[in-house]
Amino acid sequence: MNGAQIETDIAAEWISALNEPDLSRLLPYCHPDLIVHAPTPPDNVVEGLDKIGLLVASYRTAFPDGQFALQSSYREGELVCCRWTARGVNSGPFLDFPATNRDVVARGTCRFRTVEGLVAEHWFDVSQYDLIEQLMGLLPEPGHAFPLSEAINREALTAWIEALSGGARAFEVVFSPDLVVHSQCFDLRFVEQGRESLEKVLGYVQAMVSDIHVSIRDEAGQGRTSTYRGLLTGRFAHAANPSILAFYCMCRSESDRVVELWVRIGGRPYGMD
Amino acid sequence: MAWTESLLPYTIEEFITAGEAERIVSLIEHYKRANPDRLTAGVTQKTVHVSDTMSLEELVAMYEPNGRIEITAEDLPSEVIAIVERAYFTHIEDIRRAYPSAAWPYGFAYVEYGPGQYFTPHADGITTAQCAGFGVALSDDFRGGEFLIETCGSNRMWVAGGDGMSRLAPGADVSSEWFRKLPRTEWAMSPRRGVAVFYGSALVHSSRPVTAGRLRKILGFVSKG
Repeated sequence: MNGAQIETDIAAEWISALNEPDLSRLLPYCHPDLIVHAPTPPDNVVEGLDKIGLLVASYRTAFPDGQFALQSSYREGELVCCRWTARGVNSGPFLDFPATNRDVVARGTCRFRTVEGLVAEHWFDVSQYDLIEQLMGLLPEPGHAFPLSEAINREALTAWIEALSGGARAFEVVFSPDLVVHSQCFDLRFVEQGRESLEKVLGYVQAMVSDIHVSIRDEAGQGRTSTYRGLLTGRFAHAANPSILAFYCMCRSESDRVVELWVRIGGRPYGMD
Repeated sequence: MAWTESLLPYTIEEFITAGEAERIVSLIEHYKRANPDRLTAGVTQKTVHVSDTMSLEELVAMYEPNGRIEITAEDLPSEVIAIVERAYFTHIEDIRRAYPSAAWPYGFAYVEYGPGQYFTPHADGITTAQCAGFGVALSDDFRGGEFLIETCGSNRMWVAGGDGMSRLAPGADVSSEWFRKLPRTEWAMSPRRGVAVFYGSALVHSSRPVTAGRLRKILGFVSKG
């Protein structure tokens, strides 16, 4: 076995070792000062075997039964390169997305810079666009927010309606501290940052209308934005009968919080001639 | 608001489906049969155009000198508004990609042009409430009627505001001699049924006369904030 053969075998051993539940088979090939370049944020450059262990574990959590297979490898100077394919079921969270339980096939490349037969630097590249598209579709179909966004946006809507109706103000759970609020409620029109702006809208609306009840009649959305349309019934001060008003709420979320909320109350009620 | 936003033309293809376009036309035809005396632009004492200095009759005569059918938001069947609003919210991130300050759609109207009818060049004007307008094409069975964006790099379109910001010059319509004489470049388009054409509120737009058939579309505006 010549030197080139030995070093390209590192690629085969490395890819095979990724199929183990821990680093036990990788460690014998790792240089003590190993640096790993990975496409997964927030750390695209990972140093230290403990952090590299966490990186591998995050993939293993997302794809517990994932199996890597070497496609080809070659060596040029101190660099060894290979192509690989991995198959598995996404049964754990991946990036910011919950498990989809979908079968996926990932394709990527690895490059290794070797020092004295050990891997001193490693570049791990995977087609994330292709992977995420398999998992949930990178661009959702029109009318559908990302599944995760839909759930969070609906929670935000529920919290907002609950507060508007005089109930609990459970804003911290779903709204980002940096929430941007856009208000077009009657004559209260502003764009402000901060969850406290929700209180400003609540105070204004509840001072004008009492006995508030909101019913949602329709929802639509795209990407990470969901819009809910419905009716708000309530009683204006000095009014003999309850009024029916248009109610609109639009939420945009990032990660696990709503970061932007548009609220609009007033005008011609939705769906009424 | 960034000026680039107010000067941006944009399209969203398949904004509404063919079925939705047919449904809107069906609802409009039903309305037209039930309200034959409320169809001519201005007859209901309402129009999508706004002016502090002109009467409604003057506005209609200036913008649509050969007339058009116009059904404003107050009279539009609510299902028409529901369909267009839903299409808007279904494309909200596509819209905000071009107009980041876009919030709600409002001010819907149905307009219909027959042979010889068109509308004259104007810019809607930048306000604190509006960042763009849009038209949704409902029909393909007509000729002529091209929608025109008329771009103009002249400083004459702008004046300095008291706060140091530029403002669109007053009278950006054919009532002003300076505007009629201002050289502009026409960008002509014939959007197919279902396409929404957006135009920033500082963009001059107009149309060529319809030569055959009837051009039908829904107009709307995009509020900002």
